[in-house]
Amino acid sequence: MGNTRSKGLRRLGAALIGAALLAAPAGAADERADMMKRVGERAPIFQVVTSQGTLADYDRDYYGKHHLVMTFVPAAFTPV
Amino acid sequence: MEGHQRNLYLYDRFNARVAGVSRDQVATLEFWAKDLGLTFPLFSNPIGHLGIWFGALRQGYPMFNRTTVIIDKWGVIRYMRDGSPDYHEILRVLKQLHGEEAGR
Repeated sequence: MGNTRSKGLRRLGAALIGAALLAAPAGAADERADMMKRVGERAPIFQVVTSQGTLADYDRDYYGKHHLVMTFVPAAFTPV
Repeated sequence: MEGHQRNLYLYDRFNARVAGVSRDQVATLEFWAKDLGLTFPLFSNPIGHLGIWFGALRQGYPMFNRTTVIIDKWGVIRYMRDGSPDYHEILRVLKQLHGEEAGR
């Protein structure tokens, strides 16, 4: 029960961070630098839609289950 | 991406999952995944917050730069590297994580 509530709060926090990013002005360089994570830090939880038509939820799908390798690419159809 | 697809069975052996991330819409990524024959997911992140968190979205650039990040199963970032994925290095880190996992 408590665990479900804390998960809900964490998700709400992630959603608020996303909303803050949307609202942030384009020149907010310092805020961006503060948001950037580094090796050894805890990764933020996230939920994103995938090419497989599913919602990837880090908490549900990966945390405590699998290591996750993520490769960022500029755009589809660009060589990696 | 094809390199990741080739290494999928090794990632599986090390209890790892792989995903690509870009700012494209889902339909575009779906088409790209089909075109390359990818069986792992591509994350659609038009807002770009994942790029900001993991250092793949630089100020003044609209698109992500090529970056590979490894998050271990305990939620800690263990590897970040700019540029195209170095598959040998990725496998080395995953092997190390797998060893740590076995030791816990």
